[in-house]
Amino acid sequence: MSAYLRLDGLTKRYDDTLAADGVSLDIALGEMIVLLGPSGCGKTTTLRIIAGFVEASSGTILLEGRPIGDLPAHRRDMGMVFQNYALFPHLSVARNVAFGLEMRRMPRAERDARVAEMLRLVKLDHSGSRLPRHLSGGQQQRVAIARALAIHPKVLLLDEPLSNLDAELRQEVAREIRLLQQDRALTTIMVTHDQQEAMTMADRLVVMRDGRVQQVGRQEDLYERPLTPFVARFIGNSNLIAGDLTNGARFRTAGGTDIRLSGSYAGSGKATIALRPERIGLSAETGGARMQGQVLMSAYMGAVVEHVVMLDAHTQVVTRGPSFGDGATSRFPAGTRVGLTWFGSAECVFDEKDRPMGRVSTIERIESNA
Amino acid sequence: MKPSPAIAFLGPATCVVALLLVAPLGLLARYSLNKYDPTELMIEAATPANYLRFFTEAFYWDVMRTTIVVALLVTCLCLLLGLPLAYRLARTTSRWKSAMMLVVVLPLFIGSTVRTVGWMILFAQRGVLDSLSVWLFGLHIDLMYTPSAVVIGTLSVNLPFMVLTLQSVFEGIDSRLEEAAQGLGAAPGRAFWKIVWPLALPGVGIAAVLSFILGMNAYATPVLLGGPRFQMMAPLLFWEFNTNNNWPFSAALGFILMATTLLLTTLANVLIPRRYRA
Amino acid sequence: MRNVPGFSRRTVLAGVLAAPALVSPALVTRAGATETFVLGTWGGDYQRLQLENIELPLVRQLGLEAVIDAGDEAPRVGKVLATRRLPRGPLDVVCVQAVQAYALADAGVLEELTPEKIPNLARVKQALGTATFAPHIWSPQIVSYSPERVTSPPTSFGDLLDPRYNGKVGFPDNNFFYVMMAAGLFAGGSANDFVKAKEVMTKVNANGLRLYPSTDAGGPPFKTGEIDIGMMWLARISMWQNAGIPVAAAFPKEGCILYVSGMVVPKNAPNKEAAFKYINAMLDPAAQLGFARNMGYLPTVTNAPLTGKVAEQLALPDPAPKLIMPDFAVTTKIQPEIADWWKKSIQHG
Repeated sequence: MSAYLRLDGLTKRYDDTLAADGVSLDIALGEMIVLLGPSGCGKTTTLRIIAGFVEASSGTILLEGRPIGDLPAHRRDMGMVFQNYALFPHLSVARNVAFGLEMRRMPRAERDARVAEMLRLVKLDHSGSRLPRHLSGGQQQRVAIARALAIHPKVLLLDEPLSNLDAELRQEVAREIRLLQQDRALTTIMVTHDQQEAMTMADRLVVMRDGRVQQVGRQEDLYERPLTPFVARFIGNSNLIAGDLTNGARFRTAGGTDIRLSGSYAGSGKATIALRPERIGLSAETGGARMQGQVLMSAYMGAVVEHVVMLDAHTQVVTRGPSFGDGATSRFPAGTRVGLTWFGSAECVFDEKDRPMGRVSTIERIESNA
Repeated sequence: MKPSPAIAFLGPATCVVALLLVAPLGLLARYSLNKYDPTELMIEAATPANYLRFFTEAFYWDVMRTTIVVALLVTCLCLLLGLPLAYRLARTTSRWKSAMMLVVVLPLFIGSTVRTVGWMILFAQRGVLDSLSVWLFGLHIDLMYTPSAVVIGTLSVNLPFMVLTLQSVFEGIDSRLEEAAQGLGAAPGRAFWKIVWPLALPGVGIAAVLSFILGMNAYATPVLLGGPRFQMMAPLLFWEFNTNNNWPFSAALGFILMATTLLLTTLANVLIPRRYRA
Repeated sequence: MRNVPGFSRRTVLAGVLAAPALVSPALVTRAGATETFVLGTWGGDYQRLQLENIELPLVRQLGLEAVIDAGDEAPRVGKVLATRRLPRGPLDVVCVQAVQAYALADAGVLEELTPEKIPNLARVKQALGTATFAPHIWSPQIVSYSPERVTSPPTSFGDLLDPRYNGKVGFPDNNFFYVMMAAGLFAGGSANDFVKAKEVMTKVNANGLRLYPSTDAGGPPFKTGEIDIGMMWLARISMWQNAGIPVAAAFPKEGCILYVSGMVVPKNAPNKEAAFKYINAMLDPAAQLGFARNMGYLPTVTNAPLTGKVAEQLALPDPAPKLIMPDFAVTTKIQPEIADWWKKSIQHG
């Protein structure tokens, strides 16, 4: 299949640092891609390379099969929404929205109709004559979207579009953007550092770190089958336990705690286990547990109950279970010795080089109360 | 009624400003109405004679015209050279940016009179420029004591102020606005003209006014680079004060120079479209 | 050497700003072991040489120390005139040119100076001083020329009109009044003939006269070939020669206008006794010779004969040239008018 937009080995070198390091990605028409990662991971650089504001040191961008890497920003037909909206402060809302159309020398009547349509789309029909600074943050953001969409862009680029909004407004606007994007089948690339936002809005997510793509996939792929410990931690906050794997199934933490894994793995040596807090069961029975520890603290969070369990001097594990219903988690007071258990697929094991280790066989289930 | 504490704090500062700025001006205004006498220096009077002398003699009109032309020319050249320089400085992401800023500011660390002496060495017959021109083209260039020398010298005095002012003006305009414009289809030149320029205009106006005022009041440069035959207002004023001891007339000249500068500055402000004003 | 007496137009902004604060130097407290007095003088080298040749070797030992009020001459004269009615004036010793000394005497603000008060006055060359003015240094105005390009030495101010020198005549603008007197002397036989002087200067100007903004700027053009001939003080010629500028002096046959600079004491000077002692020291042969060596000005006393290189450089020709002391009764009255005419007709012409 040929992608609508293809990034191939995009690299951006600043002096001796790589802001983007071989970013490759295929994006389908009408797809919503979210670039996710901590600050400095290269997601914004990648977006700016696509927009044409930053020239890649190497790599190619193909839009509908044609290379656009050499086109200047003003000839790329990308609609960009900036984090701070970047509305032109001396132009009215309508003139802001009309700007791209003026640049394309669209006839007056057609232009006015398009501006009216866009303002209606973002529910700002009556604010066309106002100056941007007289609008609220949410309204300004909608103007920025209307301005970007007015030129019927080939790709819509969103740079942290929600970060300047109130927490309450954020959810609402996120859904609005998603609906609009799906409704108009807009090929969209959004940049964010907020995992929640990314999960809500994306068709596919791209997790980045240190300029490199860590993993590309749907939400489920990233959550269930993280390819690196970083992804495991960044998406859904896994516990990461470092230690040594011997004979493929015996794991001992750096602090000396033995863990009975649910599978046997091809290989041995230094390794890391990723365990999701909500997939660990706690019980007072320590005998059949996969590992044991002492409760350090517990907290009732409403929907869930959280425990912090100390395995040894170097290792702590967070567990999270429902507070209500059949499987309701009981709270253990601090100091209680507890056993921790989980089902087979809940654990992910990574080798010394943070590559996922293949599971050879599943080890028989251990009795537990979980 | 008791004055509020804030006003009480303003008191001393206001007094100092009044004492240091307003009082001398008042004194000057009073002097400008006096009569000059070679022995008595000044005779108390309330005569418009000093002002009439200025306005009735073509010579003084000439001097004022020269002053305005030089100040305007220098300001235009300052904008022409300073705008691109300031814009590049504001937008550069080079790690040498602070070094480049330092180069711009460096001339300000040297007194303008000393810098003028530098120009004198450059412009003099058999000076650096002349020798270079003879060596390269076999042609003598004699810039010393010419209007061009004054314009170049004043330009060099004003340009750092201009670049610094404009640089902070451009620095204050978010570069993402330009990116937004380019993303919407405006070529870089158009993006500058449509977005940056209107936003920069009030600041550019301030920079131009600054350069104009400096040009109107230039003293050392016209004296040293223009020579005795090149007449501008500030040297004329000083001549009347220092050579002729004619305080009343030089006070009147001072007021006329100040009023003209103010008038032209206000005029410029009116000419800038209202919507672009800060 | 920027601050040699003359109609200086330097940017002594400090002086300008200080001028309205008429009594500021007097506010310096007269305290301590030594007694102080206020010396109003030109800043720069003249002030430095005063310190090195007069104050340090001859005045300090008398238990006296000068508080310096440095600046241009016109503001200093203005200060004396403006404070004339105060019981205690701001200055004790005031350095001025002879013409300004005359103007101040005319205004009646100067103390009479006699050999009783100042013993060394007895040996002053009579023609240079007056009853209220103690001359310090003097120099005749001569025709300056380039010995390289001027084949036969000039003999008169009239040589400036020679078509050979069109575009090659120049001098510092601040000497304009003395040049006008020289022009009058040449054209009308009197330093006070300003009608003839204006006619001649208009011709010189029309031939491409070059004017320089400071005394210093008048020397290098002889070296670069910008000018061949001009009017200058003999003192400056020796200084320029010492600086490697090829320039020579010719004594005009119609006579040399004299530049004389010296010191006066205002009637309301707070410390007249100190002022007299200072002026007496200034007339000391050692101090006089120091100024001749350093600035090329001639001693004003009869007991300080020059020797060596200075004597050669400053020697007057034989037979002695006519030395003309301006008639200050006329010049002080006409100076403002001439200054205005010069600005509008010569500078702007």
